[in-house]
Amino acid sequence: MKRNKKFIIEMFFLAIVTITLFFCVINLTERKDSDFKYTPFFEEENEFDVLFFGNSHIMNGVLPMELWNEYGIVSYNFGGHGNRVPTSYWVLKNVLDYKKPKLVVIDIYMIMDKEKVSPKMEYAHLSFDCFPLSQTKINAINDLFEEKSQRLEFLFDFSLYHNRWEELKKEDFIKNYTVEKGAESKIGVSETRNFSLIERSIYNNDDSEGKEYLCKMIEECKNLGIEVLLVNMPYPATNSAQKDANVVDGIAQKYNVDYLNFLYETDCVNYITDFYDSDSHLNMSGAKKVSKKLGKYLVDNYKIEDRRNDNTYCDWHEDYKNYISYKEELISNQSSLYNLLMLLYDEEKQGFVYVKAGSDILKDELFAQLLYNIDVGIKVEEALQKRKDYIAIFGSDLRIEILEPQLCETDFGNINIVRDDEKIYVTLNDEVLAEMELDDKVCVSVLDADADVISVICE
Amino acid sequence: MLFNSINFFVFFLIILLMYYIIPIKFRHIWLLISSYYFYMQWNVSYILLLFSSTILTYIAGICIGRLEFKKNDNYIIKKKICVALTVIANLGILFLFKYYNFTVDSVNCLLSKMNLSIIDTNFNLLLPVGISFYTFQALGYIIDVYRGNTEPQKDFIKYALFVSFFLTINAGPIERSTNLLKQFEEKRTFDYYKAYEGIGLMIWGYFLKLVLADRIAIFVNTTYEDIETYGGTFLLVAVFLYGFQIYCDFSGYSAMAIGAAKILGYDLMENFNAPYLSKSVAEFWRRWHISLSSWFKDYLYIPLGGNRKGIIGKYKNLMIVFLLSGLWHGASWNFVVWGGLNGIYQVVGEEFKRVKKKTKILSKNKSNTFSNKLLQVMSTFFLIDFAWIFFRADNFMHALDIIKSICTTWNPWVFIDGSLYTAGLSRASFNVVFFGIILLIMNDVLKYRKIKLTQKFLEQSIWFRTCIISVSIVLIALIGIWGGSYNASNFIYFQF
Repeated sequence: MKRNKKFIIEMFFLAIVTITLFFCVINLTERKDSDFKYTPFFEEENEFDVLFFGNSHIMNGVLPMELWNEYGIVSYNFGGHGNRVPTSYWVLKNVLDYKKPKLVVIDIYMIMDKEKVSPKMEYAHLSFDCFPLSQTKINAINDLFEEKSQRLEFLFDFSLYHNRWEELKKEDFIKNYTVEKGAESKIGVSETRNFSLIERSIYNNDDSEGKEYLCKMIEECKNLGIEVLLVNMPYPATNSAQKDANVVDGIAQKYNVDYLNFLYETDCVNYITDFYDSDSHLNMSGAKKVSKKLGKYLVDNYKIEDRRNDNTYCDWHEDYKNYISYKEELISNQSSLYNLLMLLYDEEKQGFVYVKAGSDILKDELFAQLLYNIDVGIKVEEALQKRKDYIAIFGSDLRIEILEPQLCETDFGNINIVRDDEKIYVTLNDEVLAEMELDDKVCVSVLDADADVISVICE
Repeated sequence: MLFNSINFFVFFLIILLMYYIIPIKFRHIWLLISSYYFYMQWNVSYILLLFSSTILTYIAGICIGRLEFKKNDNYIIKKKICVALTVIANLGILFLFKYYNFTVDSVNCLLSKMNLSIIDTNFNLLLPVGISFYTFQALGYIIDVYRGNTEPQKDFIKYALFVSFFLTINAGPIERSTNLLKQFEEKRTFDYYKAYEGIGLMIWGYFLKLVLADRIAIFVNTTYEDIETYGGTFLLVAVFLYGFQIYCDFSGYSAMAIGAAKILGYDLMENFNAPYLSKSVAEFWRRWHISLSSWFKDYLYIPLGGNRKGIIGKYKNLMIVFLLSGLWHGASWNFVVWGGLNGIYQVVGEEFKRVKKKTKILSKNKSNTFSNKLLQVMSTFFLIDFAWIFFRADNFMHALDIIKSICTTWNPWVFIDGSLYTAGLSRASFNVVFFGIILLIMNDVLKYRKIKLTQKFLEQSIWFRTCIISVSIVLIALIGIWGGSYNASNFIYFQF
């Protein structure tokens, strides 16, 4: 009997130690992407005013930190890669276990898709791993996945992630979190395919689970007194996709909610400069434009408060500073000229663009559009025709364009361009800002508020 | 329900808890219910087959016992008839489910070569899990009753438990009534030492299965399935590793079963005893799948005459046993070839021993040196591993293709240029395999020398024991091959 008791005590002690070790190992091996994206949401003690749901269109296209800076809107972006509407429904359900926002914005892309969840399991993991095990999560996984092995992957993700023991990295030991409040900016510029808008009254009348789940999302929100805005993000949509999107007009009408279809907001984005890929996702420039427009719509049509002077949200100022640092890092680490120009949209940065006379880049429509995007580029055509150098100097309230290298006085100093036999030098107050080889055709340099160089790209 | 599943872990915990809570006299009922529940997880309808085999052999045992007790006229013949009918019935069921299609296909192959019309048959029945194991276990009981080695079991519950015991039904050990059934008769109480031994064995079993066997399987499957891409050295490595894969898979399972049984207070028979340290093929078969090889020895080889019918008779009996053993493992000619090869090894080995004895080649002193023992161990491993090619291959021709590729494709640079790690296993995984095999060999050396560590382990302080066990469990869970992405993780012997 004594030995039996001893065995029970030892097993109890063993269970405690083993479970503790397991927790450590589970934490270590779990993929950190979902935590990276959503931990700031869980750490926020206060309520959010607006939450965004949908797929990568909205994830890339709406930047909560821009909304904060512009309008003082407190929001979080729950858009996820490849999220079908049923997946977004369950993300919403899980989120509502933790927070009750004033307004929920739902992107309706892929509303007619036959699948409930993306076939790429890692996308679903990104959306659900962050949520602790709960009845809502169990219901979500049981609804979205048929196979037991798939369900186990989500409800006990160690069954999948233990395999990561071979690929553990620094990020697994030292956690860090997004500064974009769930959004994911895309850094890239791509020509988009051609498309034309169809009549808004033409729509796809087929049944779909997407429509059913969208209705459920609206009903769920209404039951909790949460307002709903439906959106369709701008992208070069096919006719078929447009018909699918247009069916939402009827749903919006039925539930008396607004539906903002950005395809018909033709002045919002530039289809040459504002997309990361040819057919789908906005880049950071496009996202800023959409965020600005959407933010104004929210402020004008819903009682969304400006929280910038609200002490309860004072942490958000610090968060915004971190976001600024993040954007500066993007600029300073940039090695692509077009990406650098794209990133400069709506940024209070100063710098210059220098293009040598006769350079082919002056004929490039994308280059010209990227310059227009930062409010320069008017004299590009002239420089091309007259075979002159093109120089643009920009600052927070400054835009200068000249066709000859000459000394220019600006708020942040005197800029000059000097040549010798080997190089071309761009100077600021006689100190060299950038050096170009004689073969280089174009040079872009970005300076911070103290006129220190953040980035220089010469090609 | 596989042993390496979370379901089984929960299932076993519940059984264990209830087992020690309920009164001793009802424990075997609880175990029987659990065993039938366990079997039903595979296929509900085949529970009837299991039950039929159980009741048939139970009744046969009672009849033989009565005949023996009454000793009426011709009781010996009647006993023989009883045994024969039982054996025929059980083997008939086994033949139907496992060998019917194989037999028809083989006959059709022969008929088509003779330009005769083939037998048209549609007999697609799923092979009941464990049928080879529980059939042999039940037949062993009947023959033991007939021989008078064991009393017929009158308690149907205990007998049914013996046939269906969830820890042995799927992949053995093929228990003897003189061992396991006898233990069901006895009052078993909790044993502290045995429980720790059981825990240790289960952990070891999970290590062999999840960390080694299933990991090696990835490489072997990748290379065997695409011998054009992974020829030559890849296949050589795969053949070498397969010897360890099947050893770890099967002995891992046995260790889990034996360990779990020990926690419940039962001692199952040892099934593997450092087989790859054998110095001859004959010794290998005394150390490998001991429950099956001893079954064939006791219930086939000896009744056939064993080594009492002269040299030719002995060799003939050896070949019959090993050919049938091959067939037991699978209804396919490559298994028969595998069995036959092992039979030939033994025949040649015996003949060589006989000639050596007669001509007194090699003095005794030299055969006891480390180098000589090492040579014998390595030669035995080579022979056994070569035979495994036929065991693992999809069919006989596939086995020949593998051998041909190993002999004709020259690419040893795969060891150096990193391409070895492109066949499903990363460098880190290969390292795990390497160190795991070393650990396995160390364990087997201790076993071979009959050194037991359990007592020494139990003498250590609790913090030390807890750390070792906890870290082992967590490490196995971490680096083991299991989880949703690894559906292929399945026991090799479950097809039998």
